[in-house]
Amino acid sequence: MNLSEFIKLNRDRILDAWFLSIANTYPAETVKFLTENRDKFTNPMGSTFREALPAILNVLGGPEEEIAAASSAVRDIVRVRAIQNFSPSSAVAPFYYIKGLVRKFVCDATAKDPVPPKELDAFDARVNSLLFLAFDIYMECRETVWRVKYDELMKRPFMVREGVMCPSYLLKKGMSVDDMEKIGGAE
Amino acid sequence: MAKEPTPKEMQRIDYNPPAPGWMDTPVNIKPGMYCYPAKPEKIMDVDMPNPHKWSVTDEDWHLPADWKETFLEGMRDRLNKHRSFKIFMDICVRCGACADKCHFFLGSGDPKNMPVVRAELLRSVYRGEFTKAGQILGRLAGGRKLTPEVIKELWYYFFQCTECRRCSLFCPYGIDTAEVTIIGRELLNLLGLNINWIQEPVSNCYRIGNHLGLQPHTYKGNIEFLLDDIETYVGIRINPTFNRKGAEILFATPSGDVFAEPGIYTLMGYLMLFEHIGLDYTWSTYASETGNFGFFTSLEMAKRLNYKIYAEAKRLGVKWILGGECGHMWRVIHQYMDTFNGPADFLEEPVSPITGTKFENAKSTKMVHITEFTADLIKHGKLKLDKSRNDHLKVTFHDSCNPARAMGLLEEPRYVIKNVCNHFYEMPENTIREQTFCCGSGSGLNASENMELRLRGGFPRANAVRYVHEKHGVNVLANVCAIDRAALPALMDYWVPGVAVAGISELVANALIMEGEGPRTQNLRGEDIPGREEAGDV
Repeated sequence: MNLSEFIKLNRDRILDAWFLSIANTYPAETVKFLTENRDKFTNPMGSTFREALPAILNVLGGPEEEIAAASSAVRDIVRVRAIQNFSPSSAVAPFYYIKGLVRKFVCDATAKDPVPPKELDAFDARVNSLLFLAFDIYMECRETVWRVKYDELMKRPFMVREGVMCPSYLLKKGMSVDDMEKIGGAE
Repeated sequence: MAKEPTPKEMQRIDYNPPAPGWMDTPVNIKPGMYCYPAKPEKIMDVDMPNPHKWSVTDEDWHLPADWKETFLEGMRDRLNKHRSFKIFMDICVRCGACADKCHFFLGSGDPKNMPVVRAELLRSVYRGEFTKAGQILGRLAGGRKLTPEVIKELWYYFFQCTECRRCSLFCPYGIDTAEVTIIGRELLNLLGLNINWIQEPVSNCYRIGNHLGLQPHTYKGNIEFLLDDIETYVGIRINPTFNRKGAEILFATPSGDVFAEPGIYTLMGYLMLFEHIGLDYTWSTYASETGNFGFFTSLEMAKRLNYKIYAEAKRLGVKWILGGECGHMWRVIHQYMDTFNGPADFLEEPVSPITGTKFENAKSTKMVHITEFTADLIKHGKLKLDKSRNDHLKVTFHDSCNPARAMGLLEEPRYVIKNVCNHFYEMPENTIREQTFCCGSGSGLNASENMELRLRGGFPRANAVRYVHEKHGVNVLANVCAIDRAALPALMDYWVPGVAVAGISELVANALIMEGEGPRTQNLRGEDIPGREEAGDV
C-alpha cells in the first residue's frame, strides 16, 4: 500500500492522535478542556487546531501537493501559538510530531501490505518542508505583533509628551511628519 | 554521526508534560504579559501608599519592610468590610463551572487563568493565614503562607484579569471573581505595586480632570479641531458650549474619544447628533473624563474620581447628565456611584427634552447612556436618517462587558445599528449579550507593552468576529466602549485583518441628514463613501 492510501484509510485515527499531541503541549488541566469541548466559539483554540489539521494532513498525504497549499491552515495554528508561552521551537513543534505519529501507525499496522520505507522517507522530507513553512509563518506572526505594537504607539500621541496634540492637528498646524517623530520620541 | 533512531524508538517519545499542581508550578513572568510598574511620583500625586521604584524582572521588588503585615492587615480589614469578599473566600466548592469561561484561559491555556484558580491564588492565602484549618493543616486544607513569591504570582495574575465578569455569569454560587481581582489589586496597591498604565491616568484624572491629562484649553482645542473636520466632511459648522452654567444637560464622555482614533469619530457623532436635535447641553473641561481608572486601583480612588462628575454637574446647575459610549464607567455609575457619592439629589430624574421619555432606570444616578438616549430618539422618529450611506458597511456588534453585564444594555445598541445600517450580522449566540467575550484589554490593561496578553485575551472575541467576517463579509466591529475602540483595532489587525472598529454614534452620524449639509460624499473619517464620490448625494 502506498502511504497516501494508508493515510486516507487511517485519517481519523491519525488526526485524533495529532490533535492530542498538540493538546498535550499545554498543562494537564488544559488538555482535558481542549479535547472535550467541541464548540467552535467557547473552545476557540481547540477548534482552531481541529479544523486546521485535516487540511494540513491532506497536503502532506498527497505527494503531488505543494506544501505551500497548507499555508492558511498552518497560519491558523501558528498564529495562536506565536503569542503563547512557547519558545519558537515549541511553537512549531506540533508539525514535527506528525513524523513520529505516521511512523507509529505504519509500524502498528499489519505487515501484509507494508508501506515502502522510501515513501516514509519522502514523507519525512515533506514534513521538514512543512516545518520550514511553519517557522516562516511564526516569524511573520511575531513581526505582526511588533508592527501592531508600533502602530498602536504611533496612534497614541498623548503618550509621548505633555502638550503634544494629535498628529492630524499638528499636520494642519504645518508641522512635518519628521518634526512629529522628533517630539514623539521615547521619553 | 548520531545513530538514526528506529521507528520503534521514535514511538517511545512521550510528549506529555509532567503535571505538578498549581501550587507547585512556579510563576514564570514573561515579557509581553505584563505592564510596566507605576512611577512613584504618580502614586504620590494621589497619596496612595508605598510609592517606590521596582522592576518586574528584578528578583527583589523592594517591598516595604512591613509588607506582610500591611498586606494581611489590609486583607483582614476588607474581609470585615466587604461581606461579599468574605463569602467569595469561603464558599467556592471548586466545581469548575467558571474554569473555561475566561477569555485569558481560552487564549492562553494557562490554568492559572481559570477564574477558579486565579481566585484560589488569594483564597489559599486566606486559608493559610486566616482560617484555623489552614493554619494547622496548611496545604492539606488548601492553605499557604504569604511570601514574596506569592506576591509576585498575585500581581502577575490579577493583572491578567479584565474584571469582565463573564465567569460570574456561570458560577452557581454567584461568586464574582472580578470582585476578588478588585480586592486583590487593592491589596497590591497597599504595597505600591500598581501598573503605570493605570496609575498615571489616575493621577492625571485627579489633578487635571481626565486620564490623558488634557488641560482645559487642549481639551476644547481638540474638539474644535474635530468641528473643523465636520465642517469639511459634512458642510456645517457646529458651535457647542463649554462649561456653560444653566445648560439643561451636562454631556460627559471618556477622554479617549477626544484624542484617540477611532474614538474621535464617535465624538464627532455626538456633536452632530446634539446639533441635529437642538439639545440644550454643555461640555465640561473639568468633568472631562467619565472613564474611571481609579476603579482599577481601589474603591476609595474610584470614589474620588467619580465625585468630580457630580460636583461639576452641581456647579453648572444642569438638570441631569448624559454619558458617552464607555465601558467600565457604566459599571461604576450603575453599581457603585450611589454608594460612593449618592444620592445626587441636586439633579432631576432624567427626561428627554426631545421626546419626553422619562429614563426611570436612571432615577437614582441621574445619568443616561447615549445609546439609550439615541434609541429613544429613533423610536420617536426624531432623527432624519439616510441609512444607505452606510450600505458599504457590514456591521457586527461587540457587547462591551460592562454595559452588557453590569447594566443590561443589550437591545438598544442593536436597535440603533439596525436603524442606521442596512447590513447587520450577529456573532454567535454564546459570544454576545451577557455571554460576550471581553476585548482582552479592559480594567486598565490596554497598554502596548503587554500586547501578547491582550492578543491572547482577545482571541475568543476575534474568533467570533472572524466567523462573521468569513461568513457574511463583516467589515465593521461596532461597540459602545472607549477601551474597545482603543484596543480592538490591534486585535483585528492580528487576528482578523480587514475589520474596522467604530463607535455606534459614528455610524449614526454618518446616516444623519443634517440641516444645511453639503453633498456628503465622505464619511466622518474623510473616506469617500462608495458610489457617492462623483455623483454626490444631495
